[in-house]
Amino acid sequence: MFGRLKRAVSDGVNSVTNSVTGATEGLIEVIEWRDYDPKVIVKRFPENGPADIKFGAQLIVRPNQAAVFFYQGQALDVFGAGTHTLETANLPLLMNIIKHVTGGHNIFSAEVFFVNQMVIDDMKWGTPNPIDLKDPDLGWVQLRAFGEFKVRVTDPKLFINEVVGGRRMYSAQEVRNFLMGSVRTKLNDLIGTTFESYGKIRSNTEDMAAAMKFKLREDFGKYGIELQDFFISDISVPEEIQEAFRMRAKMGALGISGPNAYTQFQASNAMLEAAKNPGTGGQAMSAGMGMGMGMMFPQMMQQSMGYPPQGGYPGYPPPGYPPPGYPPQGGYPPQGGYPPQQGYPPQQGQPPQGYPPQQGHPPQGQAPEGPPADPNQAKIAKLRELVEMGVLTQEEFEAKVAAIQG
Amino acid sequence: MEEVKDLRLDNRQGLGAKLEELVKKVPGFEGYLDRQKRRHADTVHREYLSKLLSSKKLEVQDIGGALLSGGGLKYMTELDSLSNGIDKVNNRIRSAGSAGGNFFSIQDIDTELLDRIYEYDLALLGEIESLDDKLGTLRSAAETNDNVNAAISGVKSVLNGLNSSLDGREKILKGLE
Repeated sequence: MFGRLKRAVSDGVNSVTNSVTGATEGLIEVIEWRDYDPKVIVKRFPENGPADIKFGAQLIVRPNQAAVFFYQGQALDVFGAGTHTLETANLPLLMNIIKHVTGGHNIFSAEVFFVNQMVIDDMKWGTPNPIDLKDPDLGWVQLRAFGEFKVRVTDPKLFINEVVGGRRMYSAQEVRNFLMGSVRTKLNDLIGTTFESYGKIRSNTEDMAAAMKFKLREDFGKYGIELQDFFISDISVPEEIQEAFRMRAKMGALGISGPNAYTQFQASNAMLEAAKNPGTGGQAMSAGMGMGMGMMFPQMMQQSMGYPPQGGYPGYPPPGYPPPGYPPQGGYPPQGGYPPQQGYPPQQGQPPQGYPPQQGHPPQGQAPEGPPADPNQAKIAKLRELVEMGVLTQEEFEAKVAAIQG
Repeated sequence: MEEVKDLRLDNRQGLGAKLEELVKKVPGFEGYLDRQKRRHADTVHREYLSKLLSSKKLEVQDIGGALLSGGGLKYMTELDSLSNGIDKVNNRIRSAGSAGGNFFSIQDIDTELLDRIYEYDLALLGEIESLDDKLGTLRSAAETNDNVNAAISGVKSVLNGLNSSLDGREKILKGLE
């Protein structure tokens, strides 16, 4: 008897090791999942399908494992951790069937599915397709999210019947793939029904992750799986919208606000860029733009900070400023109105009639009246001012003047 | 359900019974079997407590789902922490030390110690059952969306009590009390 008990069957090598002579070849007396691997969730014993198991065989189930007995494709008895002697008393369902089939012989043909009930961690999730959200500030935005979750098989019999079927092995990766559809659907649903804005999502990520646990519970539970943890690593919007957020933050830091805030901010940015690149990139046109923006900047500063001081700066404006021919005759904005009286701002997101202009910009008939008498002279004046500001050298100035006049 | 009984408790037939009769003649083995049976009884009791707690967790999750449907997103983190708290107590109960001594123990079972352990186990059962009241309060609060945080705190206080009882049980088993 003891000699026979020594004979163990290792599912790890899927072979029968008969170390004692006289033992009946092919009968299983010890059933155990030895080569435990945390990435394997279910392993069938024997791997190749049902085998003859002897009454009185030992079933060794390790902590956080469960063993499900299958007979003729049907899941019957489930064993928890411990060493079990397979007798009629602890295989009630299986034995009732076998008695009828074999007439009570002490050998039965069955297979055992070992189920790993440890927490399966590091299950990544993500949104391959963006989730649409109607944000009150941003309009329709496309969100992308990713994170990870942890699950555990809590009902081994249900899990095998509903998910694993007859496969000899089922991995953590397969579990993840199986559950991913539910995760994405519930996330879509949660965002669509619970959050009004992207900002609210960002500020409630923890609540959102907790809510996902409650939402996914039933979806997972029906397969015998329990969601242990759900983490959201990040929820993000496309890069251009992130850039808009950054810009808004910068404007806030500079104290720029109001309906023209964006224009003012862009102008100050362009001026700063021009100052960083003296003698390059700007050339005549960008120099002119920089000048225009430069003229806006003092106004911005005054609006936001009460600056410059009353009475002006000593030595400002520099000699030769404003240039001849500026402002244009008739003043700016042009008579006739800018922006146009009708059609601006556009109603319901539609461009105003006559926009875009058919022949150049601005639309004919609404162009500022009184352009400088000599546009070249105006350009030269602006360039001179850049020389005085130190943006251009005298040589660069002369070269550009020659280019304009030539 | 007579045949469902585990052979480790009522091992009067089959291979196990014969083996047991044989090894009982080995000095000290009978005492080991006694401890084995007590360990098994302890395991069965803890499994029962664990199942009870699991059912309470399901209730919390039901309440969480109902609150979320009613716009109670702000309670989700707290409710999740409640659910995790139940998990923690459950895991502690499932992995708690046995009162029956270990395999290599050469001492007889200390009946006084066992009595104290069983008192703790009974107290655990009472505390778990008292969760029903607190969960009922939480369910009512969730339905009216009123005093939800207070109701959550009520459940948490019971869980704290359970953790304290488990601490006390562990100290006895470690011989610290």
